[in-house]
Amino acid sequence: MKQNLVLLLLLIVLFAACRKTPEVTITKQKWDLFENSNAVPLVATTRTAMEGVYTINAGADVFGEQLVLKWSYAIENNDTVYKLSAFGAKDVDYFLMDGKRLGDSILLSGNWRKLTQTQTGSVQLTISYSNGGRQLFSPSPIIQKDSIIARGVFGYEADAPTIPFSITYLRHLNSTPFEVLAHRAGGRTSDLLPYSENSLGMIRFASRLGATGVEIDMRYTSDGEIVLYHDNTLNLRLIQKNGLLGPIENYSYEQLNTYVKLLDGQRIPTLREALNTVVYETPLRFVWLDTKIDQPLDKVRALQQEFLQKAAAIGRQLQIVIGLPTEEAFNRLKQLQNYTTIPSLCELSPEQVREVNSRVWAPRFTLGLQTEEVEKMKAEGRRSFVWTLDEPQYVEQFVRDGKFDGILSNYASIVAYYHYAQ
Amino acid sequence: MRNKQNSTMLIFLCCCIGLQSIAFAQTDSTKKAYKTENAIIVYAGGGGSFFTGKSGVPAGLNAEVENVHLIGSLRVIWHPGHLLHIGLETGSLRFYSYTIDNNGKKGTTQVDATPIFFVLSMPVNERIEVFAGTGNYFMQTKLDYQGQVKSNVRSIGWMVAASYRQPLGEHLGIGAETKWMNSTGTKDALLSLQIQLAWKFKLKK
Repeated sequence: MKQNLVLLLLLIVLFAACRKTPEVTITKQKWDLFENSNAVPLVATTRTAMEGVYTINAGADVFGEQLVLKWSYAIENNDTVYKLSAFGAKDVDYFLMDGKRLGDSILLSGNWRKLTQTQTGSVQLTISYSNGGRQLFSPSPIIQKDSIIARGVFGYEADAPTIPFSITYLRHLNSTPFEVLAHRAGGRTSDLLPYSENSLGMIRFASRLGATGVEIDMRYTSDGEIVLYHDNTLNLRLIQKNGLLGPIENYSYEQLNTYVKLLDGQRIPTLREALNTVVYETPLRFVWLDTKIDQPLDKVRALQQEFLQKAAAIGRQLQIVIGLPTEEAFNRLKQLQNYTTIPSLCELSPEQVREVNSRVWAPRFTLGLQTEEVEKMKAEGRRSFVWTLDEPQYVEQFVRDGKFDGILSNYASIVAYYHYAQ
Repeated sequence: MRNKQNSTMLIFLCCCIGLQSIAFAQTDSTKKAYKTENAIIVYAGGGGSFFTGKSGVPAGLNAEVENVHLIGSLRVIWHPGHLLHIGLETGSLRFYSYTIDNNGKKGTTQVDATPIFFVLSMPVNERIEVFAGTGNYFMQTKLDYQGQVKSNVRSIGWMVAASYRQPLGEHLGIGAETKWMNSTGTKDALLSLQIQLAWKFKLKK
């Protein structure tokens, strides 16, 4: 008996050592029609008119009953790149597609991913002239139920797409003002998104996931630079192995910049780089600066002011708020001059929200819907965001029954789905 | 690199399984002989270690990695009169170190650790003993690049070892030990070979 137990223990150790690290591989499938030299980018009116809630006809067993289609853009290598995202509720799936016009048809080509798993695949869809192309190409499209049908195929992993897939336009997107806030600049590194959390790449990617705003985590380096990093220590969950261990605050910016690479190969960005990316390279309209620092906030305030001015100068409607998650952060804000005029987001009590005149109150979701308090905040001209909601059924409940003005989530796409499909 | 690490570990574990099988193949009289012992044994060892993990140097920089270092161990084991013995272990080790040259700016990085483990051990025969332990590695990075930094973190981990001991008298023995050490949290691992001295302090029954 004892011998068997020891053997079992050794086998468990052996199994644990040989366990494979999960990976997500996105394989771009070649589609000759899509690559045709006559295929051209879609114009803005077509793109906007395509947005909506769609019923899934073929493929519902894999992707659920409905998808929300929404376009987003990001500046990539000085080019504005538009992508069509589709968000579903089943397994928190999302699609990311390019769109082109070829003759009288619209072609959509891209990939899908289930965020709660590692499953991916490709998708190719066509909207023919008779199935919506005619309306979508008109200068003033009038889109109604069933007026767009996209038909095509999808496939799993690197396989060529051969499984029938089709969607039909159901209704317009819910246009109620609402913030879909992506945690850690878009999502967690552990969810195997294409970019590391709190990175510039992830900030650019956030709107692809349906985010209208991002929450980013600020920390000081030993020489006073503010950088984006979530955890208390440098660790292999977030960075490539390099021998550097312990709190990020122990290292200077040059040391981090030279030695540390995030898991996807990017550098740890400074707050200045992050805000610059938000302002000039994304359509994001809200930035939540989560304060993970134990020093005065004047540098944060200076950057907030600078980039609010830069955003205003180019006509961007951008809000940047300093997050106050703790009493310490709350007291540090109060040390700044005219602190009641500084845009902030307070996670503490409603009384403290009023004390520092925070623009946003952000209670944790475990405290419930708090409808009465949220209504009071609205009456005072403040907004209320709830954090951090990841479970689809809770997201659905808070969107359906709550009065919150925004939800922070590691799965922005599921918040986007429930909000826009409402 | 990961395959290499797994292969090394596989061989090591097979050896341990082999030794463990030999241990259980002992006669009842042998077991009895060990069961009657009630003593504390202090093991002190020193030798060389070879880093078997992925050292992980910064991408895009020329780096020279040093995988072979000195290692020292101190272990105190209570033999309570059963086949299974328990005790504690600590020591000092360097997993790996490397130097970089970043356009003329030189930097050195050392990844050191002090393990503190709860250890179980079991005799295979009169000379051979196997050990397995788990606990924490108190890791320290020493970085010297545009300023010096010493930074600490705790990482869970484990070790397995097998030792051969030659008695030098009633209370003293000398031997050799091979040990696999793995810091799970930081994904560092090494294989060491150490010369070991053991002192036995008999306890009253």
